[in-house]
Amino acid sequence: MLSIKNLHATINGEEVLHGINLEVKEGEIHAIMGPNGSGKSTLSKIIAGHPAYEVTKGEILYDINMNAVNLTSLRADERAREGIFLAFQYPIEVPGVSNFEFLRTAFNAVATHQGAEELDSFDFQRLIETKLKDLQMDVKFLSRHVNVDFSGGEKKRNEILQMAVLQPRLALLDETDSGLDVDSLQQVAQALNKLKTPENAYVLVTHYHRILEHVVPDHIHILANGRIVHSGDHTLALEIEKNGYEPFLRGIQE
Amino acid sequence: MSEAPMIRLVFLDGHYAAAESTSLEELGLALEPLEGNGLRLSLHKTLDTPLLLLHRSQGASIALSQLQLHLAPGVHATVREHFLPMSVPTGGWQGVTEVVLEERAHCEYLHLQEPIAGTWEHDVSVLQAAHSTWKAQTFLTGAGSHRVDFHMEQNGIHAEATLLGSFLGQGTQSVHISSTAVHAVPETRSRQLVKGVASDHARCSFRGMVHVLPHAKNAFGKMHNHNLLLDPTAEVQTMPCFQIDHDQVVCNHGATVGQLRADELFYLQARGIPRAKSELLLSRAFIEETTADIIQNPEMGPAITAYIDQFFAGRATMTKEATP
Repeated sequence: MLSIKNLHATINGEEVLHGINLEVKEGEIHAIMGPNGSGKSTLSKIIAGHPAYEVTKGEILYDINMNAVNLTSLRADERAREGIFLAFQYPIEVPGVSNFEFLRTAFNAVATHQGAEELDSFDFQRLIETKLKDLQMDVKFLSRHVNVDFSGGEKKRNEILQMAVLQPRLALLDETDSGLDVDSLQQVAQALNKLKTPENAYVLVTHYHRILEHVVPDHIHILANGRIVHSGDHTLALEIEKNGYEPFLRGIQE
Repeated sequence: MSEAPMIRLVFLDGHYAAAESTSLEELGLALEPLEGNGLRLSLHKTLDTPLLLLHRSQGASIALSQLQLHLAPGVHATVREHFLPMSVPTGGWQGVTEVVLEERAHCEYLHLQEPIAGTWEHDVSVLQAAHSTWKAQTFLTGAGSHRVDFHMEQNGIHAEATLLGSFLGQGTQSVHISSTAVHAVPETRSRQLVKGVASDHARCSFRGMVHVLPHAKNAFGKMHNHNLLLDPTAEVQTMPCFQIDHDQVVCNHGATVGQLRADELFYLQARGIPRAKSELLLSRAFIEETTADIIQNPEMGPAITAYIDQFFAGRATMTKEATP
């Protein structure tokens, strides 16, 4: 589904990724871990098409209708309409735009691109209420402005709600667990597991193994200084928890 | 749901057109002449229906309008002053609307200006006695050269004044707004919030003043002006000012001029919303705070919403000449 080859990228002229290689197949869950400032969130944003970053070398190939398309040729909104979803580490507030209007506009943009019909407000209301119920979220969420005065947990749940509505093929989950208490973490993990299908894939960026106990990855990659320095299976998380990143960073050049 | 019928006073190039207006005699009202071209309408009891002051042009070389509304103690009135699209020849259009609120009078005032070609200048002032309230809302769509001054003077204790304003400047229009709140006595409150949007080569400015006089203890004055630039060639100047002559008051102000936030745009686009639609959603959200009430007006709302959408889509022309 996703094939990243020798990816180099810069921001403000400074190179932050130094040759990333990563293969993600349909149905897989990949976790990206690593020290602060290693480039984990950066990788997610670059795949999603954040305009602050420039890809200077390499490819991000994404399967669209059985063709490998280099994502660098697509804008952020085009990538999203092709099923790429970024759950933000710090979801921003958008005053004046209701959650309902935002979700409906996004849904219709993706749906029409994928050949489905737009939903009017009435039909979308019915759809969204089903999603809210599945996620045990209050319908009052819809009338609030996007993320305005939301608690940290509410913002993260709002990202999951958007994911439930848009049903992406590739979800980039950037520290979706950060700032969540034990109960909120379990709710988010349950929701992610519920949304997981054999046809979609997750790339989950995290510092901690606790979410990985609930959303069990097929592969874990350690990112350091803009490179993947080690990969392993789900047991790698416990190894990191026990020994830190240092054993994996020995001998790595800056 | 349709709006209640209104009492219409129609003015052609500043002159009262009785034949096109509601019969005031039947309502027990009368327009009294003031010096010059002026007219005064005195309201001694609360109106059941809104009062509409409708301005049109018939192409006179110059248009002058002077109108005073006088609300007796305890009277409530809803007033809409509406300037239809017009082309004003060389002399321009100038007008003065003065509202006098006696004790405990209450006025809700909607000031609506549709696109005007030519020079257009309007002074709106309110003089407030004790315990009176003035709630004004203005929506301005620009003119060839456009100036409007709001002056709110609180001369009685516990008088309150609010101004919510929106202006949209496009093309080579100029829009200049000034707004002054004068706190002359203790325990008075004023709030001014004006939001402006400028595109193309529009030149816009906001000059705001909160003036607290020496005896106005515990005055509360708040003034904010926030502006959105949609094009690098558009210009907005904002000049909020305080003149405070008493120690024991609460006054605050804020002013910003900026563009749509890149992180907000990316957030919407990362959900598949095309850039143009993202800009429209965010721009509409920007002026939602100062237009929400107007948009919910069942008669004016659809036309205003359509105008706002077309403005932000870069095709701001009225779809129809709005006639109440």
